[in-house]
Amino acid sequence: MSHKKSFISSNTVKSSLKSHSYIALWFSALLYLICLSGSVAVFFEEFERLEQPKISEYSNFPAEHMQPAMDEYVQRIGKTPKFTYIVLPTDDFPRTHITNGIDEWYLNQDGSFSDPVASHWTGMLQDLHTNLHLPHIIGSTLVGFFGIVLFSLIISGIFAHPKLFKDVFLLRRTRSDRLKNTDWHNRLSVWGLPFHLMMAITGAFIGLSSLLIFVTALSFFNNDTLAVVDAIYGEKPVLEGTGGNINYPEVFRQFKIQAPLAKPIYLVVHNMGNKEQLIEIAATLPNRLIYSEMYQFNEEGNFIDKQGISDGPAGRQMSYSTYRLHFGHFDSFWVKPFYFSMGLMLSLMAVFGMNIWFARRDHRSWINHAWQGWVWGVPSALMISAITSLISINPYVIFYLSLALILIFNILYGERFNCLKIMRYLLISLIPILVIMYIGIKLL
Amino acid sequence: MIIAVPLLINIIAIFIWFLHWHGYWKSLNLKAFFLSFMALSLFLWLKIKGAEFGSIYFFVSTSIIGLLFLVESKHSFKGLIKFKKRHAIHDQSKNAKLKKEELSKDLEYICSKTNLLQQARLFLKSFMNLLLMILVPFFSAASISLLLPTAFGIQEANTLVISLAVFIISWSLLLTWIYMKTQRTMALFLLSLMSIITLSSIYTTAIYVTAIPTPL
Repeated sequence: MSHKKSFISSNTVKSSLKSHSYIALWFSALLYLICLSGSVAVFFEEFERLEQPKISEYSNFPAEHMQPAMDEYVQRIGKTPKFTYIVLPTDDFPRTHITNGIDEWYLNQDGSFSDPVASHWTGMLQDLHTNLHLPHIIGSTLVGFFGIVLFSLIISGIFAHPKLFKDVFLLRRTRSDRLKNTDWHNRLSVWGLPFHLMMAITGAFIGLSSLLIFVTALSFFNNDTLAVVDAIYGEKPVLEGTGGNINYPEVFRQFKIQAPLAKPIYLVVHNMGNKEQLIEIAATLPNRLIYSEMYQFNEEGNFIDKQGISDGPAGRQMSYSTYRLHFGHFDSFWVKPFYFSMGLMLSLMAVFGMNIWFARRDHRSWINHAWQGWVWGVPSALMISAITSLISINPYVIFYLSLALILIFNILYGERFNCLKIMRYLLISLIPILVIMYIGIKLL
Repeated sequence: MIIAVPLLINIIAIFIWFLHWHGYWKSLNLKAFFLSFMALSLFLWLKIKGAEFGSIYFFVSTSIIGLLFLVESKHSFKGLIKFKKRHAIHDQSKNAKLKKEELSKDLEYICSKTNLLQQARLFLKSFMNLLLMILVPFFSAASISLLLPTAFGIQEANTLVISLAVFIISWSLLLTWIYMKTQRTMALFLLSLMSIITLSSIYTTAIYVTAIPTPL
């Protein structure tokens, strides 16, 4: 009988498995949190619409209403901001809002102001996924590091399982808990491998890009971070105008001539009211992953140039493509449910992976219950915070409070009661509560 | 202030500690060394522009100080698991007593309250060890990704973006590799040494050899 020699030695398999287990043991809880919140955050536009359902929706915002809207915005905030954005309606988000990054209002189609943007829960969810509710540079770097961890786990996972691809259809559902969990963990990992790799790399890239800009500025650009951003994404032209009203209809007419296939997503006015005022239209291009191309115009509406994101240097195109690739915001709506299910798969992999470790232990302790509390507590806390945000209670506070309570309950009463059953019922019962409360409060 | 300076100081600190740890420099007064290192970190924090970076640097530096104090000469996370197993399996009399107190508890369930203090201590040590396992590959990956643009004289920002990809891949691979090694101390030692040599070379090249023109 001849044995086929594996291309990975048994020592490598053993040490890879060790590496896989150690890294996963440390990071799976936060990895689960990031993956789950990311999966849900794919639908952030839909959640924003649900949070404020009475805002008027339309597919086109007339250019002639832009100047009055800008004037009223300046009047409302009491100063002229350096950048003013009008975010235009798209298929996924058919609403218009005006903002300087801080003060934000929705606009009706006739240019009048609607309610301020108040999607607190969606904001909390996005902030959880991108920054773990920490200050931006620290939070995004930490989340970026989890991209590294995921990448590392994928590599060690592949080396630790030489039969990963051979057993691609193996699922022993009637065997022990450990084997069941192992099979689910391995099957989910092998089926979603390309997606998981892409998520890890783009996530790390997005998260660590602030760090890269910072280090590059210190090393090569005399500590000037703006210079690095300009060098990567292209510099803005310096204009000399009158500082008067902007001819928005002409801007859009010229834009249509320059890029007939492009779909505008937002308009930004730099240095509004000054002689140097510059208008940029960000627009998506068909069959491209770049977030947008930027078309630049002067106050009279004459086209100046485009930033060259779609056809500029490779580094620029690459860094501008990671966002849509990571968040699944490209092509049709159906990419979002696909990303959601793949993200859920990644979250479940973390759960099954930890369950293997628990099944291998020859004893149980409070960690078993803490893990159970964490796994069921995170989605429950998200749901509870969504419910309470309907009655204007701070979702950040409720999320952490409910998560802490669930964890404590599981740790203290994990052995006394069947907490798993309780947690399942809790999560299932929260869904109709959310729906009923939403209909009652928001729609009626 | 160029970023290579604080990074280099951190790595040198780790290296000195490694020498001491391996018994090469027993005469070193660790407390005096840590205090001076902490003072230096604080000084650099005050000198470095940008509060966020300063605070991150200070946090990293003080973490390293804590780590230097606490890390055992073996992988303490493994120790944590062993410790729990030992108490769970062999200390049957203690477990039996505890089980009586927790009447409704499952028979397999081990009350770990009595070990809370020891567990917290071990957990802290493991956490510090983990920081070391993350930071050493981080510095090594950073030195690799900075080495390439410096060696080839690349200062164009768009090409530097590629070095982020190099950084991500090398950090992941080194993190995996370092956990794969049975002799992790040796792996950490080699990586620290490599980082020192590489970052020193980059620093020397950038400052003394190449006259860097302003890219803009």
